[in-house]
Amino acid sequence: MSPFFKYTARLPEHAPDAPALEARALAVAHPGARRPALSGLAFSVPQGCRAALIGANGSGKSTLLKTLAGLMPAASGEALVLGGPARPGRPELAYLAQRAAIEWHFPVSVEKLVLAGRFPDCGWFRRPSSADRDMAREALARLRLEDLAERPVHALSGGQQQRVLLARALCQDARVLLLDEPYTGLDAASRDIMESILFGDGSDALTVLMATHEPQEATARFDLILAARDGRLETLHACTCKRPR
Amino acid sequence: MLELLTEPLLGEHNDFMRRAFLGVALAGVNCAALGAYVVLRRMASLSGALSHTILPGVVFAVLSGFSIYWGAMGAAVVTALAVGGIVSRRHIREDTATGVILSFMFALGILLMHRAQSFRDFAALLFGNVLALSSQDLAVIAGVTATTLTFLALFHKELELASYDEDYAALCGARPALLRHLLLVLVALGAVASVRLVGSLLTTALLVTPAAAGVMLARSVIGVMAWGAGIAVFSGIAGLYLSYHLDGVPSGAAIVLVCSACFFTAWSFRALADRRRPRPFDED
Repeated sequence: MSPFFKYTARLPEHAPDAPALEARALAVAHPGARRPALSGLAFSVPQGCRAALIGANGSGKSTLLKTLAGLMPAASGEALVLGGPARPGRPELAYLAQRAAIEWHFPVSVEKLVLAGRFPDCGWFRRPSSADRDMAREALARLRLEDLAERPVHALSGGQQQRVLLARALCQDARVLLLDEPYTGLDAASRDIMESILFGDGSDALTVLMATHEPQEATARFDLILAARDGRLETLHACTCKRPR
Repeated sequence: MLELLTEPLLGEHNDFMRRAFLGVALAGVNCAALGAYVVLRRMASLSGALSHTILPGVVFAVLSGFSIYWGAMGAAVVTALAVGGIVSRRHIREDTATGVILSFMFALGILLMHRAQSFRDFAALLFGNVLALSSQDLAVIAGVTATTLTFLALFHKELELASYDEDYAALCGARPALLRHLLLVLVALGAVASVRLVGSLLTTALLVTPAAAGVMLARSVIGVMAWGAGIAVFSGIAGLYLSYHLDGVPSGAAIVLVCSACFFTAWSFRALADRRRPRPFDED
């Protein structure tokens, strides 16, 4: 595809072994705040690793995720995604905000919302192709939403809406997933379906960084725990996972 | 009976009516298409402010002797960019920024008007006079409509996405802040283009009411635009017929009243339909 239509200029090819996420002397600040919420961050999340980000409300978890997603500038230091700078317009990274950030009463169908996952590859002026539509349907099927494809998004339950957002991230073909409290207010069924995508078979190629405030649950399933406390980030246990094939 | 319909349109000396029909149809399509985003993105109060803040621009244009369109456009664009700028840089809500800029611009207009010591020239802009539409006015409306529809078509998928999920649009790199600014500029242009039809005080009605009715009836952005455009064009034409045949009915007010009637009809229809069949909501 012509780079002319791209939303942002293409990055140079990154090193294949680069960590999925990396922070170098990184500080992140809440919007408008003078002092950083978290500073002196130095961590690395290898590809294929499941990492949890724990900490109290207001400890800077969401701000860190937004900075890694390239939605907010770093206060200082560097945030890297797959060896390249964290910034918008990188199809290989998906970010699931907390539910409140989306206007659910907008007249858009489930399938159309998921299809937006193809936009980073389409760029300006291009409509999604039939191959893109197939990818959207496949993502819907993986999250068991295929029967709801034609529904308006406001007619879904909270759990279904959260699954729709994960379907969009899959449709984007992202390799790195940043999730901000994805289980908040979720019913058990939706949670099981989401966990099977994030932790189940065939998820080896995914790198996950999930903000959560359920520390007990966090320790069990994750390879790496990052704990935000008093403006610092501690690595509680390091990742031993290997990069997937 | 048929003559009631054909006479205003085909009458020998009714060039002014033909221009008026064309004007309300074009402006109706323009305002309804933009209005879909104005309503769905909750920018209704901002669009209201835009149509009011063109006052200082118009007065300034009259005082300096250039076209009132340029003055109105300048003021509306300044308002749109000022509100957009304040909202994007500081944590101030759009309605607050709108209130500040609206009163600032209106005060500026009153100051300038006081210096001009004349309210005479401004009456047509405050209340509109669709029957006095010139070919130049029509060209402005057509140009603005073409620009708007082209922009909405080219950036449809990004505008739609940024309207319900700004974070994701930013993540894709689709520049939602820039799109919002461009949309505001187009709303400003739309307000200026319809000032001659219904006056600056009622322009909001064309931007908000048809699209608001469309939201009651449609399930997609394109559907909202289509319903809105249909309602706006119908209201414009019906309003013109009413003011042509009935004594003492100003055209601008007639257009907006028909438009409002369409909205209340759509609202009632939605209320009845929802009562019979509640909106689907499945818990699984």
